[in-house]
Amino acid sequence: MPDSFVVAIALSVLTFILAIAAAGATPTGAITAWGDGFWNLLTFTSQVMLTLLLGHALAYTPFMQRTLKQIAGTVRSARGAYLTVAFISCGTALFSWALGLVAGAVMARTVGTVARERSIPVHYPLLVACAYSGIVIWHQGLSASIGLAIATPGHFLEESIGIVPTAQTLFTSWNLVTALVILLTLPFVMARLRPADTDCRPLPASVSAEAQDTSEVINADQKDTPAARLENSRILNFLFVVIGAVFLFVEFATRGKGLNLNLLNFIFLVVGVALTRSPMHYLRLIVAAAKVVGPFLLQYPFYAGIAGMMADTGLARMVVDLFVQISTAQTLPITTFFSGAILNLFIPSGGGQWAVQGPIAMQAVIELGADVPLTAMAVAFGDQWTNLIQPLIAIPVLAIAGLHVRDIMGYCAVALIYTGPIFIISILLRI
Amino acid sequence: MLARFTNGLVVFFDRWMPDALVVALVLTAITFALGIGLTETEPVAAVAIWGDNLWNLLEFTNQVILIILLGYALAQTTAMQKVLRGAAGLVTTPSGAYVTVTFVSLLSSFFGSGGFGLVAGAIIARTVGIVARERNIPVHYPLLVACAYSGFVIWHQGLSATIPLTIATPGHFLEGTIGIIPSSETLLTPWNAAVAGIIFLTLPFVMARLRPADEACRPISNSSLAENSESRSADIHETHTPAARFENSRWLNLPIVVAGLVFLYIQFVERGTGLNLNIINFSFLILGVALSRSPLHYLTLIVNAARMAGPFLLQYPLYAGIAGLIAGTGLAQMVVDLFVQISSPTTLPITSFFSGAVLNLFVPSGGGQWAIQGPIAMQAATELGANIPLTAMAVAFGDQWTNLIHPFLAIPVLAITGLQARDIMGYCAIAFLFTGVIFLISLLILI
Repeated sequence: MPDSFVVAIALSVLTFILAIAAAGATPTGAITAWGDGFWNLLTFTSQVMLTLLLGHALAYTPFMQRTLKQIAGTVRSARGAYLTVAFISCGTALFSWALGLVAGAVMARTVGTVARERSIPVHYPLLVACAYSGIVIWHQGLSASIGLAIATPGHFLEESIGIVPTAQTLFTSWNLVTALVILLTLPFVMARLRPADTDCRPLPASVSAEAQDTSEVINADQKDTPAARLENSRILNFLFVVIGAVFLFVEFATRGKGLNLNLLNFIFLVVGVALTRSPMHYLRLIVAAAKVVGPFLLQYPFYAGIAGMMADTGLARMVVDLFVQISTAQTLPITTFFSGAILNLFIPSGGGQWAVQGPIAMQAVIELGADVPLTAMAVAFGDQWTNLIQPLIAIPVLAIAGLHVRDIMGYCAVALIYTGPIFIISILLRI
Repeated sequence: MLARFTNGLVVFFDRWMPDALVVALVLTAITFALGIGLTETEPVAAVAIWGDNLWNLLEFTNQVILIILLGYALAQTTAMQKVLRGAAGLVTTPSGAYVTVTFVSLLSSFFGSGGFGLVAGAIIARTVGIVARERNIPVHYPLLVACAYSGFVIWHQGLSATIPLTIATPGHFLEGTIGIIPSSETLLTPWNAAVAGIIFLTLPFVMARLRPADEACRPISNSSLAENSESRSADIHETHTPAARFENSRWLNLPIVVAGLVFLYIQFVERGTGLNLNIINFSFLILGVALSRSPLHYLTLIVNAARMAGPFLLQYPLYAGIAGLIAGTGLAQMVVDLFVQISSPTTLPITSFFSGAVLNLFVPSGGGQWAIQGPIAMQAATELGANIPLTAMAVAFGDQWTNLIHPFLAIPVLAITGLQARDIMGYCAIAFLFTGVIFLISLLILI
């Protein structure tokens, strides 16, 4: 398994070849589609980077560090370590996928450190794979792009399928049961994967030392000038938190808004500032967290380029058409699940995938007379399922945990094999 | 006298200039106080306006971060390091160092773009700083970095000037009031070229005159250099698995470079698109990949540079919030109205210059400022019968002028060079005073 950047390049090349060979695009046509799409996801990339940055900074505030260590301190056995991390990852991913990634990764690191101190034989790569496992149910939770998109008035497929309320997708007992089965069984499956105690690779010393560094740098600037006093004063933090709290009250209580990425980022920011001693203290946490965003910033444009190529050359259409042709009204949700799973490897962002796959899949649903909400959820299932082996999404977890993608992918593949049948059976029961 | 004055300013800023984040927070607090105190806005409504606008600049934020990271990574490739060090090696005296860095900064701000000018200037300052230290040339590194930043004062008269380019574009948002103003009446006028020319020919020497005595010089410090050594630790994976060989192969760079060049050809030659942030970033990326040893080598360069993104990602939303607050509470309208009320057709360009300069401190992005100030200033120009192209350029002058004392825009330069805002602001203040006189005199001559 090479680095995720290499995977991104290889997928770009593969898409380019397929676009020319299968979809009949000219080489310059494919390159134009690639270049035009390259910067299409800038806003989304910023939002995700902010989530990672602010979430990471929040996790390293003294209060959160104490809390995390206390939770990690309840871990007494290797099995308990895997269960705790996987459960936190899955549980938080149901609220927001980005929160799930950050919370899982930070928890894995903290549990890894505690296990090291207490000589509990924990295999750190498996622990990090547990931290990533929550990504397999995000698209059934409160941040589910597809489920939320088609419930929003004015969404781009409203003409063909109308508004599909979340009561028919996310909040069906069928979806909740599927999510619950995974939430309650996957952690135990992950824990079963643990190697013999002697084969365990603990958290590398370099990684745990780095953690100490960032949390304990306090005051490098010893000068006592008016400027330095302001930098290290609590007043600005206090004012900011008051304003932030008022805005959150307005959003939630007065306007009754639901959670979205911007609001999640805002909460991370306000709570992070509230838990730090001064603006400079918070800034140091941000700078320490910034290394997490580098790979993401570089690789997202490449995936935007792939999505551009797939959409503009008609390649995505071909893939989905192929699956639609072999489908009946009965089997369409199943074939949609698989085409969604394949497409997700090339277009990892849930919303981006829906923009490409949604129109074709929903048209097929109407022509064949299949179940609209179920087919839309099948796309979501396919999307979240192959996240487990998509290295782009794993970047934040790996950056926080300090591992390489090849360290965790073996375990993630087992989770993929385990959850696949659950999704398929769940769809089959519903048809 | 100049030395005493300069020193006084340097000490003043060192004592009073807090970090850029604190400046952003203080500006937020001031805007809240003014918005609630001077306009009819309720406190809770002000908070709602602020929060609604925080995330307005996400796309732009990402573009700016990319230009810094990709530009820096490009400069760190082995080939570019050789070129840069070769060029820096031509500098043999301290005066030569300051003049060269200022000139490069001016040139790249004028002909490239504001963001490009900042990155190019900072990289040259850093390289010259390193070479000077190796050769024991007594160069004061904070002044050198101030030189790298000072060129930014000319960007709004150059090829990426937001306001003149906007009002020359068919369908721009003020077309109803002022029509289309071609660049031949703004950027490409002899007077604009003359003002830029004067700054080009004088500012480098003014900056060089500020140099302290040789024994007071602070060379580039080891902590500023620290990042550099890190970036040499590429190719960390020693394992010889197929995956590792794949990662470290130069061949994988090839498809990106070829496809990238083809796309640039299509953009520039077939479509004739001009320079914009996305194209600059794309070119940096392709060139950086072409000059790196392998995909993984390039990734390492980017990851090492990524820490610079932190302050930007944190502070840009704060400025978007301030801009939203200023526009939404009617505060901007008030400020500009005030200046308009005391103006006549002849003085309007001057008052627009000053109101633009003040507003820029709160709304540092040129385009964002025009969105707020443009409608009011242009309406006043039409009503008073003042010179429209000149008034628009006066806003641009005001915008670029106070950039020199705004720590937020200096972040990329400071991040690359490893200094604090307070280290360079004293020198920037001198450049500020000097160019202020030039801008004012030229506006007085023109009205």
